Amino acid sequence: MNTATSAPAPPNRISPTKRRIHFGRWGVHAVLLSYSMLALGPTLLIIMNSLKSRRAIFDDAFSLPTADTFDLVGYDTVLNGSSFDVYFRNSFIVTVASVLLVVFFSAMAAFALAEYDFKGNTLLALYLAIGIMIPIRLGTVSILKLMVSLSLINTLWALILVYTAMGLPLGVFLMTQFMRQVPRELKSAARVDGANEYRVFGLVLPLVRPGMAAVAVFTMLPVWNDLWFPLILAPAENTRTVTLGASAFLGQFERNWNALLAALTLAMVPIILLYVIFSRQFLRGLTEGAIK
Amino acid sequence: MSELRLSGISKVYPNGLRAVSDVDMDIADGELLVLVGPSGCGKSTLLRMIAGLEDITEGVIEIDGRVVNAESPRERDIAMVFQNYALYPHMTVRKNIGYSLRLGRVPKNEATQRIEDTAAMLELSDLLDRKPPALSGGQRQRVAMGRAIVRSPAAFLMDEPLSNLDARLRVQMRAEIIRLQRNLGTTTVYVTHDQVEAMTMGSRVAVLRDGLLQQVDSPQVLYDHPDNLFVAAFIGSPSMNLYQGHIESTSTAARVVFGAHSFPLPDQWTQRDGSGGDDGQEVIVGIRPEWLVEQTRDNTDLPSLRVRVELVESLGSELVAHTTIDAVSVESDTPELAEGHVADSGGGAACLARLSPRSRVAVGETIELAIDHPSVHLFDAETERSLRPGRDR
Repeated sequence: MNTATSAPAPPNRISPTKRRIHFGRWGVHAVLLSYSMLALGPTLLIIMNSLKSRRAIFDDAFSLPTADTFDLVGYDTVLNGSSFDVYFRNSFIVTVASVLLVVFFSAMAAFALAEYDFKGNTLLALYLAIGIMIPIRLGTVSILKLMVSLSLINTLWALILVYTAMGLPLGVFLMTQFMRQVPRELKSAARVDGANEYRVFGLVLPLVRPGMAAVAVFTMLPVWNDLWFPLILAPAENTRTVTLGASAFLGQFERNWNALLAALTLAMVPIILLYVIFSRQFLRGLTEGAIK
Repeated sequence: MSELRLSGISKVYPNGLRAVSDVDMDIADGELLVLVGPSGCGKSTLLRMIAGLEDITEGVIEIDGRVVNAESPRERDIAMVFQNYALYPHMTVRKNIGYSLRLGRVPKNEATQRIEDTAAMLELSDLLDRKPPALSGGQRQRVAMGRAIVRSPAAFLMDEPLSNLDARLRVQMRAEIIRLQRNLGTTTVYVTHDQVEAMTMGSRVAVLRDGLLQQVDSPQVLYDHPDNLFVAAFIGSPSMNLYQGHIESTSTAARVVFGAHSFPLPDQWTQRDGSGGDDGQEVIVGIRPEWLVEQTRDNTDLPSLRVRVELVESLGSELVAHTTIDAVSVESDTPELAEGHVADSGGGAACLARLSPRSRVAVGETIELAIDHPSVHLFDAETERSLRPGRDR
């Protein structure tokens, strides 16, 4: 406790400032806790019910699994009755490849936008920012046509390319802000030390790691969760992603709730792992004060 | 080890801002030249142009007779030390120092040896595996120096390398940089806004103002014979007292008159030999605070000023008296000039005097100060050029 030791305050009285701090702290916690409940509630519901028998799900969806109601039939269906290992692999490849491409290309574009003074710089930045506002799904028909003529339908490449395009606008926008924070003198020093522009870029990259982690997190979640493009561009059995695979339980097994909930629970695990990895980087970058 | 030559260097930014105008300068092999001027005078821009970080609008930069205008920084073989050190924060001291060697494909054994030698020279050997955030300001400064030294470059460029250090460390590092530069004998251009640093470090000092070179000479010459009003006001601390005045000269005698004061000028100023000032010429009179002494029985023959003491600062080794004098002072755009003076009060102009610590001047007194110097500085009121007897005008 960091009580004020220097000033002899009368006992039994909490100073107004201190009371306000206490209230403020509790207030903040109350808000955060209620928001967490709101966000985590559905997730917990899914995990809870994925461990129950079909009857128990319908009897009382809000109760915890007990010895009577505990049932792993959903997981059995998912792991043995379908090719979820393939779906997981597909989702993983698509997400990781898209994230890497988005992070790399947006870092490069942002470096150029932040570092070089060329004609049309602002215009180009604006053009890229428009991509943040206009959803890529509006162009689904033309994307589908394009993919057909490129013979990329039912390949993972189709998804990777579309997701890269989808993630770039926000990525470039975020990375440009981070790139601008790198001191000019640092880049000058590298150039004087004999670095060419690629080297300077390479030197700057570790300094914008928090930015890259932020871009990675923002790119990763919608890609992993997307149902739209896998359904349209790659619905084949061997290119299905987890989300598309899970949605199949809605029709294929006459609304197999056990399997659906189990699949969704399993689908959460990798994304949470990836998030933890990236957010560690994110926080480390912030606390390290890398740029200074 | 090389010679730098700048001829007609100008920098004009796309928005029309003229940062540097027509600078000519020769920097001899092994010389330490200091570029000094108030902030925003273009000295850093000039340095960045020499380094190749900034395009040259007009003029030619030569290193050892080779025109380098079109060369990239790495082709010029020049090392630079920056104000905020610009250390690579994610690399250890060893990698920071060795970065240029790695890029230059210096063989690993040799690189290691050179890094160790440099570190030893700068007393950094124990810190080689630390990262910059774990170093103190002085240590970071030394790493930045090491990064420059390890390359044995053609020249060092230093951009206010000491301004982020506290006063004591600055004095220490100043001496260290001078010593290193002498030992290595590397041509160095050193930029600073601090005239004390400029005076103590440079074998020659170049004074820059609004992108224009004012004067390039040894510190002593700058102090004794400033070419113009700006250099006179900028060099010296506290800076020179400046007043509006005029010359009264006849065929036999010349006097300078300012406010209620006047004193005779040496023979050269009389009209007799033709080189002196014209009668009635408007001038600016410059009197250095250190020329002023208390009037005593021994120096009654010296010209004297009647001043009113407003404030006395005792610095131990000396005593700075802020006084007012019956005259009209001259505003100079030197920032350091403004901060040294008490604002004009009671209808007089400010006059600073550096007196002996044993002086017994008291606030509120009116005293006589003698000018213990052969001649005051005179500047043309219009052109602000120095008026020097016997000099071509």
